[in-house]
Amino acid sequence: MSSKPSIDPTWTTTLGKALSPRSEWPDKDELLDVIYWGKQVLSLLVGLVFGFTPMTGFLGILSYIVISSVVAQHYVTKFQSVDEDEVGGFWELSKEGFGAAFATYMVTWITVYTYTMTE
Amino acid sequence: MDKKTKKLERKKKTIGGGAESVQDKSAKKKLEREEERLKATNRDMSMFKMKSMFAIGLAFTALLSTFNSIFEGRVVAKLPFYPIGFVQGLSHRNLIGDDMTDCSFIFLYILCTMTVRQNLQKMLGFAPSRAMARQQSSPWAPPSSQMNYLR
Repeated sequence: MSSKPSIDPTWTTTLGKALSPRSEWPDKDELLDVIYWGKQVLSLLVGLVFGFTPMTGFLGILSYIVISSVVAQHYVTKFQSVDEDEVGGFWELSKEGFGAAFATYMVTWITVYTYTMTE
Repeated sequence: MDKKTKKLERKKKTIGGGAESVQDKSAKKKLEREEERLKATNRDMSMFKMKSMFAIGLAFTALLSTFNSIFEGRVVAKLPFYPIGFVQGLSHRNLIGDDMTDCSFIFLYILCTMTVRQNLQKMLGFAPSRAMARQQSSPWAPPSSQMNYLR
């Protein structure tokens, strides 16, 4: 019963794996971490676009939720070709880092919208 | 903690798939001892975390009162949506006027705290471990009474 010594991946190797399609993810938590940070970046981008457009009303919130869930699901199933049940299913993927990502989106959206309105 | 829990998970999987033998039983006993040690460490960690959370709570309260004295009654942002009932209480706190899209500092402060705190925790490795959460509700970890026959 010899177990292989586990080597923690550095953030550069994880980023490399995250950006290349069909990478091997022996540790599913690593993939969930990629989804967490990916959602942060996506929130920032969507917040910037919706703020400058400017998108208003609850359509902005609803659109973000849909975009965030669909992108995360497509990234895992289509880009990485990982069975979504291996990482807990659609619900678990949507929930991963949702609170922090939503807060990031709201802060960016509100800040950029305020800037656009005052300019 | 996270590394240890993952190591334990892996060991459990290896033993779980193996055949019953004397060697296997001794390995299971060893595993249980390790699990107990991990639980004890987790308890100590929880105490430490509670203290640090208390300190963070105090720091954020102090920060809130400081910001409150600076930005109270000022419109700090314009909301791109019309907030619903209970959100209005926060987003329009201490503001004059009926325009509900005016945003008070407290609403933005809460959002900023949410994003900054969680991202910092994740970045510095203080976020609650997924492996620990799984361990506590894992099918691999039956209640100790069920494992007594192994002892």
